[in-house]
Amino acid sequence: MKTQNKIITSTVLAFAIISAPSAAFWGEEPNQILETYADIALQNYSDTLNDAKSMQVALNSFSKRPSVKSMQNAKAAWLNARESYGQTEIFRLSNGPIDAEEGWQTVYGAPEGQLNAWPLDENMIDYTIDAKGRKTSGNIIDTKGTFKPTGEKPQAVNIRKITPAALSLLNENGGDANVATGYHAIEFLLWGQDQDYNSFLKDGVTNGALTAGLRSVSDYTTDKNANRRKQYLNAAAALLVSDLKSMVSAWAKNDNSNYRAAFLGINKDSSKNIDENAALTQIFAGMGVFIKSELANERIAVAVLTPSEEDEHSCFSDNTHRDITQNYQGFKNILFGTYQGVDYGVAPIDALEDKDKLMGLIKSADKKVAQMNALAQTSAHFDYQIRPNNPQSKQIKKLKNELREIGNQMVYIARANGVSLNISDVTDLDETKL
Amino acid sequence: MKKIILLTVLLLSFTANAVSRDLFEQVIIANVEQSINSARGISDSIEKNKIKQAQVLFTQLIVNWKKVQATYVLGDLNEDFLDTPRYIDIFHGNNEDIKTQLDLIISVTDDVEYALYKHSHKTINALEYLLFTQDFTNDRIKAMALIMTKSIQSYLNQIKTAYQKYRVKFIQDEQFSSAILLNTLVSGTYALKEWRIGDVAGMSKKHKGEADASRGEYALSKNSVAAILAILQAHKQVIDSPKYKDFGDIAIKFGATQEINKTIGYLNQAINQVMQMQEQDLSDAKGKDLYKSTSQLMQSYYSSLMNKLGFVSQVLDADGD
Repeated sequence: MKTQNKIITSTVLAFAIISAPSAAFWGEEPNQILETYADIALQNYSDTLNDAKSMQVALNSFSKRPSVKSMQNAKAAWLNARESYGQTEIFRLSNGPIDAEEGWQTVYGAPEGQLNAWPLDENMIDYTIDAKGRKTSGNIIDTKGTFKPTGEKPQAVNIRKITPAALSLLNENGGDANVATGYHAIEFLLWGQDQDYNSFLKDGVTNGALTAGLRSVSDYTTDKNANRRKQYLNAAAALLVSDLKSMVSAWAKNDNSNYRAAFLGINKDSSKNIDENAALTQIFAGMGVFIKSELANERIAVAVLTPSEEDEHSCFSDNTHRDITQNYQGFKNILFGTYQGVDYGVAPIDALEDKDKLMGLIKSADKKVAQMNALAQTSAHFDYQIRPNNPQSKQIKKLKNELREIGNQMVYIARANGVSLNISDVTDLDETKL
Repeated sequence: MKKIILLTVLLLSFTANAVSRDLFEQVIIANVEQSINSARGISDSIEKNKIKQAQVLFTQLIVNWKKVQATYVLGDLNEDFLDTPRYIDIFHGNNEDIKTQLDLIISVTDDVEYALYKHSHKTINALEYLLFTQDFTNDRIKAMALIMTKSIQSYLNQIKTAYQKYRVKFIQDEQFSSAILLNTLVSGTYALKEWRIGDVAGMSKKHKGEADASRGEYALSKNSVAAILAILQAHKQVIDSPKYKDFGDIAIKFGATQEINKTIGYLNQAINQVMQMQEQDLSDAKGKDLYKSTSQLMQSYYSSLMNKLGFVSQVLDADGD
């Protein structure tokens, strides 16, 4: 989702523009919280890149020798890749390289919308079964030649061959839902449709509480468009790996000209350096907006309060419980200054004197996240947990409320670290009103 | 000396509780009860195939419900009820096109209860679509409408029961109840001016210069102006009632006489403007003028009154702390 960027650019960026002299100017050491943040960002994005490369290999193997087994391997690699990527989402909405809309850091391509855009209109990518039980057509896979998406002022793109460049041109061409790239496009090409558009409760397309999308391997073997799907998978994977490389380079150490150097106030081009207070403001506000407005609101509340399978994050693979878990884990990584059990140094929470309220919320949210995971593995995927008559939906609503309150707590975390924020700074004013 | 202080505190406390109690009974509970009666009336009318009567009662429901919504503080009393209004009314509440979905449900033969599984399918907005665009000689449509009114009544009853359960929590602490009420009024004023007025009049940030009557909250039934008036009247119930001591009196007690009088002035100005408006006026010059008045009202609440009443931010801060 790209909409959450606006508040950051309107409030936090204002700090960045009117920046005071950086740490380097004064000959000071960079702020330790910022160093911890940058170190975790580098490690997390490096892991994500490696996992994406493994996925790319698995997709390549699958497309060379499609079989039930190689398809399973490809799916497993996708699921594994989501584990590390999910944690990186905490670096969003902070005017950083992943999604900054303005500033020199846009040289990194702000690839968030290309990596993880959702919800997507899968009809644009490949066939689905519509609400009346008919197979759809007129998509990227079955169109040879030029493809023009639907929506507002779409541009036609030559897709005679499905390449990374063609997919990039198609992504969000004509509207936000016209997603052609990233994890969820690959997810759809591997799992296929899970949702019954006619009735989410009837679940007639792939019936069952533990059943995800059931795309047949024949889509990659005997189907007339098999080769185009293979092309698509490989092109999407290549683009994804390329975008993640860009993120690793943005956060890499021993580079005095990259984003990390500017973030820590030691970029050789001092005009790029971000004032310490501005950098802290960006990350605290970003953490608050991400957990409160993006995770709690757009990813959980919209799905559970509607209720709507369409609005769950990984709706083809039914991996939404892991998305939520890893997004939340990413928040905790930064809050506590840890990653994969390793202490990375000074953390935002360290300065908070009275931690009782925040820790109480985290303990309670931990329990609910664990319960959601346990149920997803044993009895009901997220799309069944949010059904109106499932008692678990009440727990998910409570989780949503707790995550929103944890987002509000960033005001106090910021204050404890000498940064002034208010509730509107940790809330996306354009969030879906629920 | 201690006795005098104690007596003063007790007196203030007694007075304060009386304010909260009157507001609670005469505004919060009374508005919910009237909404329940309106919803029940619609249901009875549909049962008897008196659709014109149901349409008239729908306006009553809108008016009463908007008052409940404008003063909704139940989520602050118990977070389990934070989302309940959303099950009754989805204006700006999600990204769904319920008209298309309802058309599909009308056209298929699935069990109606089963087909209307989404909360949004059973809201006032869904009911409006059926009552004002569909043919009620179709039994399926009638059955759908009855499920909607039943659901609306059920949630309103839940709200009433919960309010009664948390009555003591509301009335025992004057500052707490005042703070959550003022907070609700302020956030509601933003929604009022931006969505209900600004989006239609082409004055909101999102739709600047693009007036469009179809963006009205209840454009189908032409009840958008009635809804706006009801919201402003709910504000008047809370801050300027001649019948009981209200939040305006509390503001004066805390030294915000000038600020509350100014706020009441803007509120009265907006009410007078709405009283002169028809549905179609929302998208013309009158709508623009109303946007300006409600912007002033919001500024007055937010910048002036809340600042003066320091306890409001302290209570809200403590609540989130």
